[in-house]
Amino acid sequence: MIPKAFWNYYFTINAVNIPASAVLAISGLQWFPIALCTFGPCMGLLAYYTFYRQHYYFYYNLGYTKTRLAVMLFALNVAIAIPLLILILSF
Amino acid sequence: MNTLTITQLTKSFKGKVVLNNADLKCTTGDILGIFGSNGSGKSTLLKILFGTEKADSIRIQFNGENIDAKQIIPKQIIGYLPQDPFIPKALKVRDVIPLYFKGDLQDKIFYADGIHKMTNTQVGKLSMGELRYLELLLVGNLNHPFLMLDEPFSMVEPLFKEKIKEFLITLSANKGIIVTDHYYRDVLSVSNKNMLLKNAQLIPVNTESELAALGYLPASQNAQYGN
Repeated sequence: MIPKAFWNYYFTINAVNIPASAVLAISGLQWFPIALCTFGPCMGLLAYYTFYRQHYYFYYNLGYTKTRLAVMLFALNVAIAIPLLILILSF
Repeated sequence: MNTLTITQLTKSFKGKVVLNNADLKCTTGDILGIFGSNGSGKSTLLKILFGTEKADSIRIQFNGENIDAKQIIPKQIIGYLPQDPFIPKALKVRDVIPLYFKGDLQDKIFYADGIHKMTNTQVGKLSMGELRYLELLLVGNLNHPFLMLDEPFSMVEPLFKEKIKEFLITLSANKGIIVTDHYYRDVLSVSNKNMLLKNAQLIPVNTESELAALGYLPASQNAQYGN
């Protein structure tokens, strides 16, 4: 089960990820789900580290390391991106 | 009863040694005050113990067993109140508490003295004292056997300081606590062991006069104690 606290981290990263991925999707809609679990989260993580670095302690105290948070983020985005990519390619 | 033992702790930055083979021990019931001038390495020491800063060398034992510093966070051995605010500012207090606690413990925080009046406030709009108190309540009530506090009394109004002190004394029944702060009188009023970080060494101290004698407090303070 995904802990409640993770969602705050997830949505903060994806607030950067989704627009960044949408920019890449200009060259083709199929690039959106690919960017959503590759380039986009990297941009999100970079922005989070730059602007919200201190917030990592919020998660550290709950037992989540930076690596574990990133793995959960990528895993969840891959789980969303694969069906989305199949859907886009099927049209 | 839990014991955290740190030995052979060495850390240097760009050739400057901030911790040189330093040792410390904290057990359940301890409130260990750590003092030191700005830049002496107090915050670095806490970050190393928490596993977010890498030491040049360190040996950590938890209840007699060696553990890697990287295991401190995932095994939830130490709760840590960092120097800077860490709760996302956009969240409201009433939304933050359920992210940390469930059930009765959640109610305990909601009904804690001073919290009920701030529940509808965004974290970013809390005063420094309110925020520090909220952060301490969150971290202190987690189930870690040890708690480290980096400047819990800084910029906190007297009323909240007293609440923080009472809370620390209550917590020390079940936790070992390490506190560092320049408000040495506040720390000394709750601590039962103290150390001064000076010249990269942790020196045991007991009283204000010893802090003065070791040069942490001004010489006039030293004279006040007849040294």
